[in-house]
Amino acid sequence: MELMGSFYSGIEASLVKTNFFTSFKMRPLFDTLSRIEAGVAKKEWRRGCDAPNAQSLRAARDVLERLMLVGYVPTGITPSAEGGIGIYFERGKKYADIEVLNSGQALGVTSDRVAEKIIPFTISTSQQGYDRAIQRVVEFFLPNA
Amino acid sequence: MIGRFNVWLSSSSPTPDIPEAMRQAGRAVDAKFDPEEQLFYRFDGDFKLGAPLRGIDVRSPDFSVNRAKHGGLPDFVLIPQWLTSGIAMFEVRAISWSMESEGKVTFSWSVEHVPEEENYHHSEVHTFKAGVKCEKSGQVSQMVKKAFRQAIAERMTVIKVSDYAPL
Repeated sequence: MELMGSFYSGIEASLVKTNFFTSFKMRPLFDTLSRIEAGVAKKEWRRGCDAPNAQSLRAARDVLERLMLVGYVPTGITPSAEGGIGIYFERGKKYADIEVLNSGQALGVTSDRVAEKIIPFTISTSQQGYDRAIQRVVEFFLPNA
Repeated sequence: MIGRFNVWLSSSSPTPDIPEAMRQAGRAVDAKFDPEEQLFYRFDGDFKLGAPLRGIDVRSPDFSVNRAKHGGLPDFVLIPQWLTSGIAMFEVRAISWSMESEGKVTFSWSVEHVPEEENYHHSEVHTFKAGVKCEKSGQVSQMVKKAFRQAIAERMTVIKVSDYAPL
């Protein structure tokens, strides 16, 4: 709980500190999400999986906005093969993602990509749930932060 | 083989005929897969050559692949209408493992040869719950599915990149 408290304090602090650099780094991710939203709206979906629905698109935007608040920039955002949106992080060999599905569910995973230490986790689809998922991802990449 | 693919793609026809080597032409189902046999998976997304995939790019509980045995070329997974998609390769042994859910149910995976008239090499990776094939996504534990998708993705290698990442 102590850790969670400090994490949320970090979020609040970053509300003030979210700076030009973070916005600059996050911009391509929001742009990609907007392109996906526009493509879905215009029925230009050409992938072999279900297009993201309004629910998963909204959830993905929520997660991106929470990430911008804490200043932790994902590597990319992409449609999920399961139908929905995946937001992924790659730092060296390490990998993590937050996946919001058309079903309304959200899941995450962390992997060291070396010893096959793959740890999936469920995510509550609420701001608190997204914050906890982000915290988990940040702690995975920055265990001493 | 990819070189041959590029030549083949340069055909002036936008939807070229199915290569004869792809046709079933009376060939029987071959249920035997060696652990080293290569399987080819089609994907859409932005990856570098030689990179692994991401779990979010893999479908579950079932997904289609093409097998290499009997002359199956990687590019066959792109024919006829996915010519700009990417191809990832993995070996059969990559799915030869099992995983236990939180409820102590054992999940396992295997590949089945499911030839089609115009794609003899078509095969399917299936998920089994306590030895019984899962027909619906809901039959598979979410945690198991998420872990499997990531695990198999990490064992895949991109051998042809997508020409573009379509919507």
